[in-house]
Amino acid sequence: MAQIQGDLQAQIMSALWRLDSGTVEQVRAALPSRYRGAYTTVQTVLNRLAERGLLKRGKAGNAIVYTPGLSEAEYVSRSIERTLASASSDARQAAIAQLISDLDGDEISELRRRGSELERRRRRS
Amino acid sequence: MTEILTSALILALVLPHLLPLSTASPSVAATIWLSTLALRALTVLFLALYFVLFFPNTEAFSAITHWCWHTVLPLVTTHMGLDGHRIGDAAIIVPPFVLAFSAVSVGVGVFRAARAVHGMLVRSSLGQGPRDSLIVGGAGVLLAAAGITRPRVLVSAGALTALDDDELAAGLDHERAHIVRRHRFVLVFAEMMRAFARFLPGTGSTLGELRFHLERDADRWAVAQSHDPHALASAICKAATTRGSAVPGLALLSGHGHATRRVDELIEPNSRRPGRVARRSLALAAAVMVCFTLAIAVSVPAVALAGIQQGQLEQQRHCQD
Repeated sequence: MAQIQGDLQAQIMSALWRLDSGTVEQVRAALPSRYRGAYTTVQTVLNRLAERGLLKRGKAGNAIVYTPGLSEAEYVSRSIERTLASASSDARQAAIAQLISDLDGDEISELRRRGSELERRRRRS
Repeated sequence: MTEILTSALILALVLPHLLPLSTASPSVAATIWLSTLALRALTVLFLALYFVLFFPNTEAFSAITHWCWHTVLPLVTTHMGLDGHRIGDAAIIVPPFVLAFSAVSVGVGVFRAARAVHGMLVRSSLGQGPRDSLIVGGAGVLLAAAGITRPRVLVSAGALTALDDDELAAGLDHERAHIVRRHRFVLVFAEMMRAFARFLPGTGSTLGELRFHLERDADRWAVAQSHDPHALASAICKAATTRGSAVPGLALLSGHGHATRRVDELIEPNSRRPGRVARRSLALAAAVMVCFTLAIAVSVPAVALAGIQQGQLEQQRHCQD
């Protein structure tokens, strides 16, 4: 469910970047067929993305219109990663604590494996 | 007395590597590693003091300076009029200069990093995110507590789309824990200690272990805010997965395996919990380490003073001769 939710959130953002702005029904229609769930599902995810600050909610007549709060270019921007990488590693870690710090390839593969396991466990529970 | 103190110092430096600290409470483990780092810095400081204040008064120093210039390079000393002892005197001030340079460079590094992070917060923020966080660009899952004086939680746009509600809440609380528990001050202090201790082997791994236990501390705090530990573990895994395509500069050796150890602890928390006696013993070890470190730190001025007095006595004796 978590993975599906994450994918759906990303698909809805893509759809809104294409549309510029849209109602629940317009966004739902713009989604790829495999993500085109129930109206309420799309509405729930749109509201969640608005609460998280990624979308702005406005009114057009009776309908609620959703607009992206950031552009696609900003979404894919890697300026933060570059800023973090450019600073000296040790000094940077004193000024910024990340959820995960520096990893090598083996550990990334290991965490990917554990992530899939966790996904299955969480889906079961 | 000196031998006893030296033995105690060596034991205190080795002890954390022998204790089962990965099963200890994160704050106890972090206290022990921070004390070790401070002891390493003090060891280097004492070595520098010894070279400046005590070593010149020894027979060994006279023999070495004499041997260096009069025996090895007789032509230089004879024809260029160089005094081996004066050059030796100049050489002994190299260690404190190196330490001072190291301290200044690390201090400047931390200051510059803090300014860069502050600038990044001002320039790169794309808006207000959930729970008073700041949204920054980036498709990867990035969650961070940034800044030293006015820290904020950063969340990337990628994290806001990739994480579900539980994962996002747990991840944000993990970062909030770094701020609430004031880990940044511990890390700045640790960085200053590293400025001195970097000349001893094993200092990098000591700092890595300290960081690991601070992360464990933040994990525990986040889970205590009534979160599912699996949600936090899943957020860590997702962050690692998106990190796979990150810039190569971020892939460094420090902290190797730490994220995996954290995920394991979150998935199976009870398998790593020590017994009551072990817990109390580790807490006692932490208290002893802190007291010992403070005692050593307090003795620095006394040792320096003794060295200066010994130097003055030697000079008076030299003048009388």
